[in-house]
Amino acid sequence: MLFLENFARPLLIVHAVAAAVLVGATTHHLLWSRHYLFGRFNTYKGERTFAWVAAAAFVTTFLVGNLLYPTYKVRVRAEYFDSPQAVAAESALRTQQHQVSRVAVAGAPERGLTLTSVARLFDIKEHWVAIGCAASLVLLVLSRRAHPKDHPRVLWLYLGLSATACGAAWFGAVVGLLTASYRAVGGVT
Amino acid sequence: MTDGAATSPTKSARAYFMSCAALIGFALAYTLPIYARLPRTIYDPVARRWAWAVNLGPIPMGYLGQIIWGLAGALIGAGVAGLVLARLKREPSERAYALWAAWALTAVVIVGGYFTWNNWP
Repeated sequence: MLFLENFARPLLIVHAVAAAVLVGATTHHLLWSRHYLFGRFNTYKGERTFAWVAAAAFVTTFLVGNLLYPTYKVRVRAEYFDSPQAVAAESALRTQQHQVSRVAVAGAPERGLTLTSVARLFDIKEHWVAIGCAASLVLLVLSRRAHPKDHPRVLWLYLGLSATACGAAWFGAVVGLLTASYRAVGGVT
Repeated sequence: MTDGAATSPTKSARAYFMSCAALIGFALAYTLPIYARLPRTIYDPVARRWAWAVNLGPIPMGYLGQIIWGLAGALIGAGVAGLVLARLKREPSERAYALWAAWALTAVVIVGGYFTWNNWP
């Protein structure tokens, strides 16, 4: 039994909900911060709240994701994505079931196909979310200690960090959903 | 030291430069064990064992070790920046603000690009 494997499904749901909050908060933060470029700071109170929510959601999503990681690494990556036999068996089973339901699917998967490319995309995501989490925490500090409203020289870093956190959150969410779609709605291709 | 003091960096300036240094430190230290093949903390989920090594194969997870390297880098970066700022007798220039923002954001882009390039499917 792997670490927290029994709790993998509830942890995945918590991870997904936290990620949804994260995407919403970082997007709102970036959109509200764009007014600062034109010297309009009337939304700064709400923006600072989003900085806090985004940092809390980033840390939560990141920690829960790390708790899930051993299960992903063994059960998903090693036993499925990187295993041509598992992908072929899954493909054959699905083809058999398509014949039962009599609904054909477009394009048959190649023989010897692996899903290593999906796993590598997931690796890229991991690194970007680590950077995004750090950016989000720095943004939280700046929003409390050196906000662009009072310190205009901070503006470019502030906007850059907001864009980094938002981009990392969106990339993480999309790649996470894409990864979870295999063996689900997406089949093996 | 209070905001508005003319002879030494303000609290907001300290927060700004220490934040920049922490981010640069995190980004570089997070990459260092991979780039320079240095040992890090690795968790083997099958054996349920921790190890200190460069690499233990495809399944053991070195990600947590990388995060620890990054956190150490952030602490060292912020600490060094704090020490330098404590000795500084004037408010940093506008140019210093721009340069440190550029370095911090460039570090983020370079490190993100490095891992994207290395793991590209």
